[in-house]
Amino acid sequence: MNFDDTPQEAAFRAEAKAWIAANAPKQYEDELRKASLGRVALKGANILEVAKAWQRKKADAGWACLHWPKEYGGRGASPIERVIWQQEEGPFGRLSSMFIIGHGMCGPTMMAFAGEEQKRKYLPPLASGEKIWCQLFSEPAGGSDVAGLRTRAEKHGDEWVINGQKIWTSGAHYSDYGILLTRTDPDVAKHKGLTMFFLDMKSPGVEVRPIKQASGASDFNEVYFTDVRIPDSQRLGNVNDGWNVSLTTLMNERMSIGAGVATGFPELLDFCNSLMLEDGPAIENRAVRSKLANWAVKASGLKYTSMRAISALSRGERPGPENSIGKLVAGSMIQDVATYALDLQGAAGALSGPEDAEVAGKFQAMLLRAPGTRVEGGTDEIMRNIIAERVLGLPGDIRVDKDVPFNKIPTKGRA
Amino acid sequence: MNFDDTPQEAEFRSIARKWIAANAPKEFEEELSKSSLGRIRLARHDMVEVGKAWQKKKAEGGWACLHWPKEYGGRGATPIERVIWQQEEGVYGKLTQPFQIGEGMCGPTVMAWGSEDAKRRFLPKLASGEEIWCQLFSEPSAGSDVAGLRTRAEKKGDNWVVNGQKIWTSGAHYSDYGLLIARTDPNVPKHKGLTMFFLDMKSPGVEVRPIKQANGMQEFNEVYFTDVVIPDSQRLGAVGEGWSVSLTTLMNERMSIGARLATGVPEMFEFCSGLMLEDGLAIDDPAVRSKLASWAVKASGLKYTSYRAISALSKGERPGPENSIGKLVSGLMLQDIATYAMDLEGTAGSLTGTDEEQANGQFQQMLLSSPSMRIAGGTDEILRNIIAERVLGLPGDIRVDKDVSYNKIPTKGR
Amino acid sequence: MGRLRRCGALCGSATKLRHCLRWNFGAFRSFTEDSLVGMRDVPTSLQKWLPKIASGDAIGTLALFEGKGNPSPKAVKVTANGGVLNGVKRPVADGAIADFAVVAARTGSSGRESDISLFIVDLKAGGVEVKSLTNIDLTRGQAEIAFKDAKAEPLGAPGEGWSVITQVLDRAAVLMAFEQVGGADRALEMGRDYALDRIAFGRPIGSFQAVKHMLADMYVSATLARSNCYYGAWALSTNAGELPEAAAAARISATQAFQHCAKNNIQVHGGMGFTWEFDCHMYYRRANAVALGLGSLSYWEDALIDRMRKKNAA
Repeated sequence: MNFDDTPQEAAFRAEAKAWIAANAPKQYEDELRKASLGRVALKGANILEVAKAWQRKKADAGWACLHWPKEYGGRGASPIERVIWQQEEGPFGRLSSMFIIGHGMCGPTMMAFAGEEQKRKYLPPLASGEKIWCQLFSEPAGGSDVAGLRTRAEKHGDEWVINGQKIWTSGAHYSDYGILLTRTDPDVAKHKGLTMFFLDMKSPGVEVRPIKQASGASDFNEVYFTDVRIPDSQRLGNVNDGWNVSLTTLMNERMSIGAGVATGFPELLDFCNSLMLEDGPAIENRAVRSKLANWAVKASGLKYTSMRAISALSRGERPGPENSIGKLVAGSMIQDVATYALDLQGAAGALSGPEDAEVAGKFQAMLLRAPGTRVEGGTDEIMRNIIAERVLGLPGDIRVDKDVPFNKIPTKGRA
Repeated sequence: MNFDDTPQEAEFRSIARKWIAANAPKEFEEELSKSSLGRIRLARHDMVEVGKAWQKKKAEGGWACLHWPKEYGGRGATPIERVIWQQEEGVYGKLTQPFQIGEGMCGPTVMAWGSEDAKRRFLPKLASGEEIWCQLFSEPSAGSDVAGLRTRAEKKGDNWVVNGQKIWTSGAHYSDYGLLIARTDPNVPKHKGLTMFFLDMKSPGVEVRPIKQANGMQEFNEVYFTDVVIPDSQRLGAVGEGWSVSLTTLMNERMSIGARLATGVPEMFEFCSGLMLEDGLAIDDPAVRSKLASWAVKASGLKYTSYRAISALSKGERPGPENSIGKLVSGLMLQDIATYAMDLEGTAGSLTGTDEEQANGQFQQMLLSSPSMRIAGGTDEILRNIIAERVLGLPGDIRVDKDVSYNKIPTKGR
Repeated sequence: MGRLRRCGALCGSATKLRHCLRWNFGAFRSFTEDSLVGMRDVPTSLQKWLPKIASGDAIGTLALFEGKGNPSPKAVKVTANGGVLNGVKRPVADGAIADFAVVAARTGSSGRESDISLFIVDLKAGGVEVKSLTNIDLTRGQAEIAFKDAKAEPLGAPGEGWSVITQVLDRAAVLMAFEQVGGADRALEMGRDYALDRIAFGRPIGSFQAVKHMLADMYVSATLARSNCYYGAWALSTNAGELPEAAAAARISATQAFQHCAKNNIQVHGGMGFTWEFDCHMYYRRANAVALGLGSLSYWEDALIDRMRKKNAA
């Protein structure tokens, strides 16, 4: 790992910096800089439209999906160049949140399993933000246990007919396409009867209903399928090989969620720098310092761990499951950071919202959003299993359902 | 629960206090009050000898094993009276360490499963400290999984012949008797082929080897058995029933280990009250206070939890597995406290000397001893299982060895 | 109602958030009443309110805080001069529905505690402006109350306000701690039930040690807190000298337990716990809001060490 730019990298950085200075939507810079977990919104503008415009501009100039091949809408850039771009894009990168799933998960899955013609048709508009994609895996009965899903796909001639329900679909309400994991054979063991598709979210029979989250916001949806028809040409991978296809997506999910993971630390440091406690500035208080220092080293540890992964990537190594630590560490950290920020505010810490609470309610929003981080894209417990099993080589949990036909697996814990 | 003494309790307390004032070995008071986990020893005296003398005196005055029936060497006291005694005995209670396993585990097991003759012969001497008992359960291949043990007992006429090895036996080197669980049938599932015995530790074929611990001390032993002969009259419970018998012992173990738990909090509070940091007393530092407060409420929570258990006991309820929390909470806390105390000592914290500046090295000893607290008498993980399963009613772990005959269970991970 | 029984009632109603109307005002009203009734001689200014509090016709509140920060005489800026108050209090629990408030106001400028006195203000009278504030707990209101020459009657002797506030906070800490323990227990119970019912990988999720041990740890914090609370209740009901220390211990322990259990209850529930389909978020919100209402955890940690030192020195 090297922390200095090579001459080529320095040149790339200068070019990116100049382009961003000339083109970024600076009128939103201040607002974006202040946004944090649970509260990326713009006053007086539709964030989806602002984001699409910025993504389009980037795509036109060759700055979208930098590491993708040019023919699919990317730049063919090296992994390091992508990181440099992200560093330079700074707060404007927060505008990409609605594209992360498409770029990080759906795109790579299409790239690995779709036909050449489909790749040329679907990937460039995905890269440019013109079309937004979502991922339809989780179900009420298949959360951490994704392979426990029940949505059925039945073959009728050249088409598949889908019936069932998905849940936790981020951005389904504004998505144009989705990748969909279904059960095509319930008589075999659960991992063996799954098949992957992609579909037009405007297809007849698709119904999207927003879920009200703990924080009061609705970023996720339930998606219902009633006799939805998907042509066999939109199948990804072989029939009943959907589990293997999904592993590509899921490993990419954990990578992409872990990439620029929010820790809450910079926000807390800022806050402590300006906060006056009864007997002096918060930043001078030993108790505050001790906590800040503990979080600071976690945040920097995460940062340099991701740089090591990037370094490995640039040497041509495949990033491994060790990246699972990002979300695991950051998820509970951001919860603790928010709790402590409220503690420092005293009784007024219970107030919320941009009008009534301290620093525009940023930490209250963070507190209410944080539990979601510890669950989405793999719960803390699943992340620890991944680290124990795939990094440390420990045995897997005992699977009582492994060789049982799917339709014989119990569905309730007690009568 | 009531935190005030009733008139009867107040009277009992004053009798106990007077007796202690007149009889306790005051020459050791200061040394004992400074000793903490991992460092209970006397500079110029043998701890076991001093302990035996005090225990004997207590037994003569009717203050040993207070809650045991009088005919077995106790006082027939109520649970509350026992607690009051412990409060009054204070630092001298630290002298009872060599007897805790006998009183807390072996005694109750013999009381529940031994013959009347055996009880009258062995229990009074156990209570008076004249004979020390140890508990021979754990084995190299059976730690948390006690029922996985391999020591064999084979019937030869009226006797049993024992071969095998035990480990982690506290005090085996000064014990007179031991409670021993052995496998009598390897062809049935593991819980079903066990039998419990007691034996004279001086029997031919018993060899005790001390284990050097992480903290440098030697409290635990390995015990080897080579053709050791035990008469069938020293069997406790039926053949093949050893697992049920051992549950009596183990629940008592968790209770008794929980009873006089060290938390490290009083030592830490005192240390911080006297320690000068660069700009003032440690106890005035907000960072120190925040940590101290969190530990203090855990320690007081444990204290009042044990009062609640005693309260339940005095109402005739059976104390349940919820007492497992004591050791779980304090084990980890001792480790954290010791680490933080050394942090406050700065670079000198790594020294293990016994001078004043490093608080007599007590936190260094605590640090090195605390890992065993989190293992002995049930690991943290086993205790969490007990809470989850027996208190909260969650399902047990999936047992892959449950219906497998014992000699078919794998013995190596890879 | 005796204080011990009230502790039990708070704890019990907190376990059933569905009946949140009862829970909502329980703790705050209790401690206001408790502190007022606890004064040696009932001041005349209070006499007209007492029967109404008892019958439920009037709701009282304590107006102490003025923006961010913890309880401190220095932080009190609202002034009392010639029988009228001026200044702004925020947040005030249940301020928007309260009929009267006990207000801590500044009557001197010596820089000592004796600068603070207590007053009773009829919130429906002139010179009082009440504004609701948004807060993280959706089941309990917070408000800002602005006084502009608002008529106020003194409560208790001048200059004794802060010592009364300190006692009120200790008593309230014990009562609120029972609410917190009740909340922690209910969150634990919800998590346990879900772990028994929910199947993943062909087994109830409660059979995985990662989930089991999380629940066992929740049980441990809830149990330690409950034990500390019992001690606090004993100290409160007997007016024991240990009350200040016992109250701080109960408060810290219960705050930590409720936050811990509420947070991990969501985790046990997974994604569903993060939606409004389940009540988990109400407990999470309440746990974090109630942790701040009487002064934050840091404040009580500091107070506990002070009090332990005093006891050790004595």
